[in-house]
Amino acid sequence: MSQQQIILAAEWFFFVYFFFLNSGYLLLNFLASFRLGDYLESRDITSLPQVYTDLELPISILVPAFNEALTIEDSVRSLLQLRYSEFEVIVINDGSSDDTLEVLKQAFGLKKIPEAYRVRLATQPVLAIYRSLQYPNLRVLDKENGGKADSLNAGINAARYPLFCGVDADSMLHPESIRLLVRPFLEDPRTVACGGTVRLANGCEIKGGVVQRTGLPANLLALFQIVEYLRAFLFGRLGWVPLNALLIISGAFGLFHKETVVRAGGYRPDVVGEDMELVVRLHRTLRREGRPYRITFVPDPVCWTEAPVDLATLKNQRVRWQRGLGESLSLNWSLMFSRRGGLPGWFAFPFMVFLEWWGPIFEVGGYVFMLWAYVVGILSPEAMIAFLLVAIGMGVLLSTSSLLLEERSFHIYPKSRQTVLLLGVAILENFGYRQLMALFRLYGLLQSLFGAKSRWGSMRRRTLG
Amino acid sequence: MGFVFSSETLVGHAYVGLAIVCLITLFMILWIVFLRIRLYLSQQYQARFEGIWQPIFTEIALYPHCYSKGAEVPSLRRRDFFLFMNCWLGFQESLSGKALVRLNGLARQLKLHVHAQHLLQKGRMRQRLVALVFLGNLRDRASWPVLEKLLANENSLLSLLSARALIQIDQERALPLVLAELVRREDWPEARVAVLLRSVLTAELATPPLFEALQNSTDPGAIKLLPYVEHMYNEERNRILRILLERSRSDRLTSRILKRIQCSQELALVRQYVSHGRWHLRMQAVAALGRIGQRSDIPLLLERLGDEEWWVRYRASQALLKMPGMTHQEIETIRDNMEDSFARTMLEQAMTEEGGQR
Repeated sequence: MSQQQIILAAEWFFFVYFFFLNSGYLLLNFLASFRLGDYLESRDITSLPQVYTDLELPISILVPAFNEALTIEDSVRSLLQLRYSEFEVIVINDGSSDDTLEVLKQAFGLKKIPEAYRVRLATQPVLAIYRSLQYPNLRVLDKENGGKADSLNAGINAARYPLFCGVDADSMLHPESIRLLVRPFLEDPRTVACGGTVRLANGCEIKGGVVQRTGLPANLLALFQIVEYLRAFLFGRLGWVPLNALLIISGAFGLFHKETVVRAGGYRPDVVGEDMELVVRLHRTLRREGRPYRITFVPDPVCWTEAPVDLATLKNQRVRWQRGLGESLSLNWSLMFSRRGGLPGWFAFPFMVFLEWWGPIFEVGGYVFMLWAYVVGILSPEAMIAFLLVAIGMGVLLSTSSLLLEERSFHIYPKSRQTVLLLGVAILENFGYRQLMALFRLYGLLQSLFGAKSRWGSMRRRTLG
Repeated sequence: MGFVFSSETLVGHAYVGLAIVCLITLFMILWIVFLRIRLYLSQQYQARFEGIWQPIFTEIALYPHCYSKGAEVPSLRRRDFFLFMNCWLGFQESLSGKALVRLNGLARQLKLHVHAQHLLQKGRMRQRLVALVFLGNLRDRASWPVLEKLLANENSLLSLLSARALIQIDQERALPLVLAELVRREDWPEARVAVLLRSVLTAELATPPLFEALQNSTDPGAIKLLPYVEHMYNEERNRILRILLERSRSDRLTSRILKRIQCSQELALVRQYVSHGRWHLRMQAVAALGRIGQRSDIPLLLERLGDEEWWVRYRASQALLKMPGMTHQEIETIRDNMEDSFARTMLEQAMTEEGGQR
């Protein structure tokens, strides 16, 4: 094969990859748009007077906490104020080395109880169980350090209700969040998991652990991430719902059917992205068993979290997400193209593998190849510019479509100048930010392939996928 | 070597693609601007509309002496009917009694019931649903035949809202129809039906149709109806539970009946399930003993404290604490004499929890 043929083949490879990547995203966008239309109609209807009613499935809220002494009291208090008929809050102190447990004891009048602990999922030893004298629905598990997944498993063991919700200790929930998330379980008994939309609280006015007024941050990195989150949640998640092929539910906020999760083995403590791994495993095991099920997603903004505002933290986050994605997919490889895989196995899983997990190789590779070809003189300036413009144009198109979905639905940012600013950011992020994220993801991918195994000596946060 | 791609068709295609992408993006931006302007205008219009009608609603509902019957009300344009209905529904939620009747009078004066009836038959889905809620709240008897037909509609939301509207219009006549539909359908979410029926069921109204429906139902049908036996008169309730327990062939049904047993007449039947092979039946049986058991049941409960299933042990320990005449000292003695350390911990947990509740 001559050099020219190799270059031509590479050109076609990147072209086809680019075509599939963007076609996939556009298809998701299209599906999300329809789904959102249906959802908004049903939401309008159920929010009509008297139509939506108080629903009664009790819920256990699990809050893993590691060295959260500064924030844990506010977090728990805001959870206790959620508007829902019956729920319990279980805080799992994952061997904190600071005063997390002491703060909880003081703030909520905890009393040690001799609870007969039912171990259905293996975890690090639970040292003690406390119950609040002020809030009968609050319990605290004090256990040896084992990581977030291990803590969640301990929480599942102690949970008394049929649905559980894992919440990051630093997440802020909308007061109606549980009510919104439980709806799919009531409307369709096949529902085993439901994710919620996570939005960024940077720039918002927060009081008592609740977002009082939305706003946009001054920090450019945070602004980029706001547009990125809109894209990730409004069509990156919602688009998979009509296909029942959603593979990611954010660890920051998701509601699960406890028995189904226990049967599937609970969270894996030895992976970085335990939230995604669990959801992929649920698909794999339920499909293998031939059980009808539904994994869904609520597009309402129900959970708020803070985005990293410096590059180092952002890089760590993206590297971790990429490793988590890789682990989740490689551990459930048998779902891919399996006989009973359905749309998750034949469409979502390959999509995730080729376009998300291995995507950074092709994305960064594409840029490097084009630059190289340009530098050595085999790519004309016109072709180089055309390639860059199309790549940037598609990025702008996808971000703008997310803003359009947002505008059609929730109007989180009510002021016109906020919309204009976000439109500007949607264009600007394509000049450097997205390429930088691709580099971080590539680094994460390479680290997971060749680097040290992930260690879980301490709690990890913000597994937002 | 010259430029390999300089004149390739791909470059041309790329520019065509880019032009399309730019056009679509521009279209989306214009759409966003349009939506923003439309939202602004509709919010302004709605605010003005509510500014006119809310005071009228308030006067008619709460200060009728200020607003005599037949008084002039602003004319309502056809395009505002739907907005009015939504506004009216929102306001009406906070009312009851005569205020509600007066507000209904206003809707009829404006002939909105005719418009709602039309929407119910010819409107889009959202309009039909709003019309359903509207006509139900209006207690519009003329809509009964259409509502009865819609009750069997395959769309569950339509049928559920029809059920509610029928109940609002005539509870006594609607209840047998709704119960029969509840037994027939698989798509009505239990929680929604529960709230729908709970808001209207009274013992006087509910007892005859529920008794009859339960008596004639199959096991799956009885499972659906059981949550509502709480609304029946005690005597009929206990009688139908006994009948169902004796004839039940379904573990699920038996479990749900045991959960509702309140009468000591059923003690002998309950005891039969304390050692049943299915753990959830054992759990419900020991929980029932906690409600109706006698001191002679203590050995049965102690035995269940060592059950292989956590929930059975948990309920058995709770039941033990509730046995008639059980003192704290006695329960401590039982605990101290236990050889099974796990059963002892379980009992300690129940004792602590009960202490906390006190």
